[in-house]
Amino acid sequence: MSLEDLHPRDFLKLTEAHLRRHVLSRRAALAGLGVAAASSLLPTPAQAQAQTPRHGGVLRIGRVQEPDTLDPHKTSLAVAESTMLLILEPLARRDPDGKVIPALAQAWEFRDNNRSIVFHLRPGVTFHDGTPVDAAACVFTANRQMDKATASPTTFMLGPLDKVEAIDPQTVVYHYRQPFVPIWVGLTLSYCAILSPTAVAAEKERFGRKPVGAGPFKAISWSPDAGLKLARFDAYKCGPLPYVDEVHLTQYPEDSTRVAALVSGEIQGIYTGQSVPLDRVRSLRSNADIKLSTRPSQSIRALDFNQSLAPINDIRVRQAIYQAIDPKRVITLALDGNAKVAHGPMPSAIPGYDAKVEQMGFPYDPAKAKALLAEAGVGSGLQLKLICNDSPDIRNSAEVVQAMLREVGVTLSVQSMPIGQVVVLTKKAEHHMYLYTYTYPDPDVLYPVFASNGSLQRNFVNDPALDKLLEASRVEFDAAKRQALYDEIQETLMRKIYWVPLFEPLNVVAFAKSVQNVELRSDSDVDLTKVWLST
Amino acid sequence: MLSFAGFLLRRIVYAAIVVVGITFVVSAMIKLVPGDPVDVMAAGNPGMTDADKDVLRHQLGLDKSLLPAFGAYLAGAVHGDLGISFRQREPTTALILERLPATAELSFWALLFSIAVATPLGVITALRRDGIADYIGTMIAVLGVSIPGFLLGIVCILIFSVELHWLPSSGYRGSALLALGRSIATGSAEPFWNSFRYFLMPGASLAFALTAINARLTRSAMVEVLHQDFVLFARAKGVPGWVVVFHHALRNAIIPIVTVTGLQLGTLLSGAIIIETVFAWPGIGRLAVQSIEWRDYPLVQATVLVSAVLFVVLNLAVDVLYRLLDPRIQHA
Repeated sequence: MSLEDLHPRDFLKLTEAHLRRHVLSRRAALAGLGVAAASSLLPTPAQAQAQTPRHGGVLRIGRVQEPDTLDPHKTSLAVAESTMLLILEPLARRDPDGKVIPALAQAWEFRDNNRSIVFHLRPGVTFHDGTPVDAAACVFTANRQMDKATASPTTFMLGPLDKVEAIDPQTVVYHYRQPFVPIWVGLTLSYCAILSPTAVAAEKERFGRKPVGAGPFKAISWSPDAGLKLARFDAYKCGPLPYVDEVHLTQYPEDSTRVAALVSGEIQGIYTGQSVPLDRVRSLRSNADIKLSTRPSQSIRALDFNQSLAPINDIRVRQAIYQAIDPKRVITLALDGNAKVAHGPMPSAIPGYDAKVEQMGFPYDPAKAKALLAEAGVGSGLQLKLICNDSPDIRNSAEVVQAMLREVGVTLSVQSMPIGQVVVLTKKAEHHMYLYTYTYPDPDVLYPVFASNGSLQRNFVNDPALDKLLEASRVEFDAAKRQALYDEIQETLMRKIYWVPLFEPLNVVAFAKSVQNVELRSDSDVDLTKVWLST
Repeated sequence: MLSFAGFLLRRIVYAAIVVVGITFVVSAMIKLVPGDPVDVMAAGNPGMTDADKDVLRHQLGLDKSLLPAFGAYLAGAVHGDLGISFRQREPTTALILERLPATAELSFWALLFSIAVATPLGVITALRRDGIADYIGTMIAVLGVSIPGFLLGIVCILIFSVELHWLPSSGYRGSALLALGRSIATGSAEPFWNSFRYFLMPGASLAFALTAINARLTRSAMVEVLHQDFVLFARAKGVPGWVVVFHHALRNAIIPIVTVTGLQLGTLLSGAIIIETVFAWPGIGRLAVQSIEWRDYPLVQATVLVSAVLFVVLNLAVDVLYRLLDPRIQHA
C-alpha cells in the first residue's frame, strides 16, 4: 500500500503522529526527569493557578545569542526561530506534546491522493500592520521562500512542495509532488510562518529588522544597542493573549555579565541554549531571589570513533577506550553534575530511545582497558587525536577524557576549535575521535549521523547492513515496525562500539521570583505568552 | 607650504595602497580558514543534506573564485557599496554604521579618562623621580599592564553593580555626548548621567591599561626634557615652576605621547573585542568577531576595510598634528 492510496483521514493521522514522535511528549519528559526532578523548582500547575495571573509589565530577558536576522527565509539559527515564533504566526502550531494545533488555519484536509493539503484560514485575522491574513499572503510567503533569489537556508523544510494556490481569500492549497509525511515539522516552525506582503514590499531587505507577522507580539524596535523590544499584539486571534505588555530580549555574550544582570535585577530571566552557564547553577540555586528550572534536553555528547584510521578500526581498542572512561567523572568534573549519563546513540529524551542499550555498555574498568590495549598490540605509548568544539563545557569534558585516557597509557591530544572549523576538519578523517554533539527531537537523526552517506557522518562507518536498516527506518510508516527498526539500529551501533556515549546535558533556565508560570519545554524554550509578572 | 600639500598627497596614495593590500590579505586569509558560511549554518541543522548545502552555496555565490570576487568587491567599494552580509542579509555599511558610534564614543571616553589620569601622573612621577609618588606610579603602571581587561571588567561589575548597585552591569543607552548637549540645554544632569553611567565601567577598564602606558611614557619623556638646557635656563630666568613644567617641558615632551595616543585611538576604534563582550557593548569589535565565526565574508571584508581606513586616517592626522605642535618637524 502506498501513501497515495491511504484515506486522507488516515494520512492526516500519520502526519500528525510523525510530528508527535518528532516532538517529545510531556509524559516522556517527566519520566526522564529522574534525578533532576528533585532539584527542579518548576512550578506545578496547581501552584501557578493558586494565584490570579496579573496583566501588564515589562519582561526583560538576557540571552547568550542574538538572532542574525528575523527574516524567516534568511536564517537557520535556533535562537532566531524561537524569537520569530513570538512575532510571526504559522498556519499551525505545535503544543508542548507535539500535537498540531490550529493557528492561522483553523482547519485542513488532505486531498488529491494526499499530495495536496487545503487550509481554511481563520476569518478576520490581520497582520500587525493591518493587512488581512488571506490566501494571497500564504502564496506570497511560500513563493518567497522557494525563490532562488531569496537563497533561503530552510527551503528544505517545505519538502517536495510544488506550488501554493489560492482558491478564495480564506482557502489555500499546498500542492506537493508526492505525499509528504513530515509536513508539520516545517510548517509549524516560524521559518514557514506567513508574512505580511505589504510589509515585505515596504521594508525590502530591512524586513529582517522589522518583521511583520500575525503572532502574539509585534516587533517595536531592534537595534544592537537596546536589544529587541516586543509589545503585545492586542488583536492577536490565534491563541490566548500574552499577559505581559512588553518583552525585551537583550544579548549578553559574556556569562559573568549575564548572571550579574540577573542577580542585580536588571533582567528577570535567562533562557535559551546555553544561556545559563553550568558552572553558575550552584550559586544561582542558593540565591533566594532566583528560581531555576531544569529539564533533560534532547542532546547528547559522545566520543565518535573514526573507523577509517588504525588502530581505532580495531574493536578491542574501541572497547578499551570505552572502559577507560567514567562518564560520571566527566559530569562531576566538567559540568558540576548538571547532566545525565548517556547510554546509547541517542539521548533518552528522544521518543524512540531503546532502553535496552543501557545494558549494552561496558563498565568503567581501567585494568581491563589496559589488557585490551595490550591484546590489540598497542600496549603503551598510543597517541590519539581528538577534535572538539570550543564551548567551555565541551572543552572541559575533553580534558577530563584526556586525563582518564592518560591513566591507561594513552596520550590524547585535544584540538578545540570553533564549530565552523570542526565541521570541515572532521570531514578530513585525520582525527581518531571527535567529541560529537547533537540536539534533535527525532530518531531520524541516526541517519545523518551514522549512515555511510549521512550529511553529519564523521565516523566513516561503512556498514551496508546498518545502511539498509537506516534506509528502511526512513520509509517505514507503521509506528511499531519503525520502532523495531530503531531498536535494532541502536543495538547494532552499541554492539559495534561505534561511539562512547558520555552525557546528556540538562537544560537550565533561571528566572527572578517575580516571574510566574515559567514552563520549560523539552526544546529548552519557555512560552513567553503564558508568563506573567507578580508585583 | 607647497611641500605640505605634496606630503599630504603622497601619504594619501600610500594609505590607499595599504588599505587595499590589507583588505586583500584578510579576504584571502579568511577563505583559507576551514569552513564556509553554509557549513556553519548547517552545523546545527541535521535536516540539511549535502545537496541542500550545495544549492545554498550556489545561491549565495560561494562557488565563485577568490580573485574575480575580490575585483568585483573593490569596484563596489569605490562606489561605497561594501556588499551584503551573508548572515544578517543587510548592507554591511549599515551594520557597521549602526555600531561605529558606540565604539567611537567608548574610545573617546576611554582615551579621555586615560589622558586625564596619565598626564598628571606622568608629570608628578617625573618631578618626584625615585620618590614615593614615583614608586606608586610605577606600581599602577605594572598593574595596568598586567591585569587583563576582562578580569578588571568582571571585578568592576561584581563590585559596582551586583554588590553596591551603583552602576548598570552592562549595555549601552545612547551617546553621552549628545545627552550632554541636552543636559546643558535643560540644566539637568539627568540625561547625561543616564547615558554616561553606562560608559564608566567599560571606559575605565579600557583606560586602565592605556593609562599605565601613557603615564610611563609621559614620565620618561618629561624626565628627558626636564634635564635639557632650556628648562634650566627658564628656571634660571625666574619663570614660575608650573609654567616651566607645563608650558616649556610638557609641550616638548608631548610628541611621543601624541604618537602613541594616535595609535591607541586607532586600535580602540577597530573595536575592543574583550571589553565589548564583557559589557555587552554593541561595538564594531563584536561585529568583527561574529562575522569571522559565521564566515560572513562580506562583513569580514567590510569591517577590516573600515578599520584599516580609520587607522590610516588617524596616522595621517597624527603626522599633521606633529607639524602643528612642533613647527620644526619637516617631512622630507
